[in-house]
Amino acid sequence: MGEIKNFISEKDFEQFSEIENFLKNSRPEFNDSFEKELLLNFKSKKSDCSFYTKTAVALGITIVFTLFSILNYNKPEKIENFRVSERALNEVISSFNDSENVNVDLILQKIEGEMKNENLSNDYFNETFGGDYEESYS
Amino acid sequence: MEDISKWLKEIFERKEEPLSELINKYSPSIRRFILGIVKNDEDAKELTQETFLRFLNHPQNFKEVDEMRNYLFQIAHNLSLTKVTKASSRREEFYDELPEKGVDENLSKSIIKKEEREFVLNLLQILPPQQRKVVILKIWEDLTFKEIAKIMSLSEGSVKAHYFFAMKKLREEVFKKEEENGRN
Repeated sequence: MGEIKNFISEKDFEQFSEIENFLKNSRPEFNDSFEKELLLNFKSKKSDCSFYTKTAVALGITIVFTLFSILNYNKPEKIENFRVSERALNEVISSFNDSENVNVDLILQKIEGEMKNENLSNDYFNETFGGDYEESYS
Repeated sequence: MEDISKWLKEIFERKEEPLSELINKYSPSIRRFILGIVKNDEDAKELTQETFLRFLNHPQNFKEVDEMRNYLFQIAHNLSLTKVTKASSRREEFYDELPEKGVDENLSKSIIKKEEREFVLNLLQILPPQQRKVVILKIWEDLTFKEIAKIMSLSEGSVKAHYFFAMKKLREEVFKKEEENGRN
């Protein structure tokens, strides 16, 4: 065909005028609403895009909000274990005369109170005599 | 030129009026071109829609405003290269879906026209895809050999050769059919 195509002239096509006319007259024409459908589809495709944009924006806001929350998250105060000397605990327990009314809250309150006093006495001991009251007398 | 650029910008922004103008102007040609290739109107509609969608989604690929029609044909041609096999594997016939006219005279005219077109679409199927495309673009869309060559990424000489052999084949086929009908 590579060689033949160089020898095809306009005159060679004249012989096809009849079949050309026949094909031309049979050209399909459309009488439906395809163009309208097409337009509607493209418009809805556009609104699809804005839907995606909205979704992306919403997602972005959620991510920012989550990050902000994480960064500003305050850890709840940890209840630290505290150690109580045996002497202090015995003092506290023995201070309850009516054992029927003893409960955990009361014991804890008492211990905290004792510990505060103990710290004060520790500070006083330390300042007055030097050294630790607990270490010296426990 | 400024008006064309503005019009084009509005098309890519998908403004209704210019978009409608574009579709009304070029959609029948694109649909006809694809219909000639795939023979099935539902597939032709689908590929026509995809052609326009590709055009609208990739404005950066479009350079020459004057060649918008040819550019659309080029997209349709490329799409048909990959999708033609899938599309033509379905067996529904386009003309079964045409609305029938109520008036008798119109109805008979419509049937004759319908049969004629169906015959032509079947006739085109005897051609290899390349030749078929050349014939459709040349005869139905009145494109020059040069334009067709650009759309199909072929040389002008090749397009002429495709057209020559296609017309020869079609003419022989029509003669053969006429002879068969004469005998019957």
